[in-house]
Amino acid sequence: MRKGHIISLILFLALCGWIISLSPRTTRKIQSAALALATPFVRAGSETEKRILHFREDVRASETVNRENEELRRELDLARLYAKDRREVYEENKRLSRALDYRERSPFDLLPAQVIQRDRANWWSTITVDRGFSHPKVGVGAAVLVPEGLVGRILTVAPDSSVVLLLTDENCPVAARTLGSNDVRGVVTGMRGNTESNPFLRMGPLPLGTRIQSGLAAITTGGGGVFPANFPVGMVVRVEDRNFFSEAVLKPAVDFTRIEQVFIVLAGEKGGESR
Amino acid sequence: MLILLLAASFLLQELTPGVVSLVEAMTGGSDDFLHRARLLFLPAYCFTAALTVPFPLMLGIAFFGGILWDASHALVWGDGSPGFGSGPLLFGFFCSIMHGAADFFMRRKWVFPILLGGVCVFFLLLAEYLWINFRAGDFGFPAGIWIKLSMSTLLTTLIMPVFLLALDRSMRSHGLLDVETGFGSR
Repeated sequence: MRKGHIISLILFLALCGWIISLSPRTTRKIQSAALALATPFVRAGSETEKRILHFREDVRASETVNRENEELRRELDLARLYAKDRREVYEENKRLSRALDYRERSPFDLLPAQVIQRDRANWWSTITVDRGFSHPKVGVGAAVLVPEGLVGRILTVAPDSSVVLLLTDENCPVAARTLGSNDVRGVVTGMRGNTESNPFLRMGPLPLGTRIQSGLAAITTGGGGVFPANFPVGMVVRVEDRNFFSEAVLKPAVDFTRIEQVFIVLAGEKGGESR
Repeated sequence: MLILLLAASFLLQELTPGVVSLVEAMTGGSDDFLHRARLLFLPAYCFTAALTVPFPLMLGIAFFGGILWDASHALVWGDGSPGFGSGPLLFGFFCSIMHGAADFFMRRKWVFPILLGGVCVFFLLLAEYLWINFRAGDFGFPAGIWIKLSMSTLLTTLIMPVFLLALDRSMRSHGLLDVETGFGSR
């Protein structure tokens, strides 16, 4: 091995040692800078993706119509197009009205945000949203919700975007309890190595032999102070016994493949500026 | 130029989750068709660049590539959470292995380096997953993990020839590569 190679190898290892010794605060700053650098590209990519998918949906619709009468096809195409437009407008209206109503009813300040990227990290379940620390009350650890339930919490913040760690990740534990007179308490986490879009959650550890009626809802307790109380987390599917404890398997309350708009819970009392 | 390509591969990788979901949608597959596999432009670029540059420069690419990798993949959560910094080490290790196949690249025999690149990508991902398991204190290998690892490896291996071709053209046109004299002949 040449002398130059040995020197460069020693320098490389020293730099690696320095990087590993950096504080989490500094590493978060590096991650934030990388996210800020990528955000414009991610936004552009997200827009293009939506356009292509809509185009593809239109093509699929016309393929179905092609099988029918040639005369009727044009009319049918047109009718479907109008109907689709109206349906989309109606659905969007309904969704936004629900979101607005939810935002007004909520006991805390919420900031609406749009999902611009999914699965940014390789091994963690994340989404990226289009709000960041340019809004003063958005910060690391803030809870993220949708009207159906809890989504996760903010992991990395850049000026105009944030990465949200989803509830389906095992690193996003939530204190929860089941609804009903005989409530059962436990910690809800995702499962490691899940590669599905909508994986089940686990609630445990529960005393061995615990039985919970399937279909019962689980909600947050508010313990730990990160997540607000009484938010739907999931629905009990079954209970599994382990060696020393039992675990409830939950179906998430939120369909993570379909979320497009979320709400970030802002720090501080309700009533502050939130736009 | 190499640094610019590194930045470009990082930004391309940021776009890939969308690309993969697009592929799923276009092919009519279900949401879990690819088990959240990804096109990994950053390792693909670093591993192919390792074939084309001298050893010290290869370490430089591995270092910056590893930092960018950690910047988008490491989970930094709370004080004292480890996870950041393993990227440069892993990239350095696998780029060094790739660098050993540089002769094949110079003689334009690309099949072996590309296959080796695929193996390196697979073991890079496996090493990360094993580390996560080690930190969690138990090891779990659901079937989906192997599909994800294999699909990510396959997709990434498929884009490696494009990087190799670009680097080969670029280096030869600038007279930086010569079969007889090796790297940096000019």
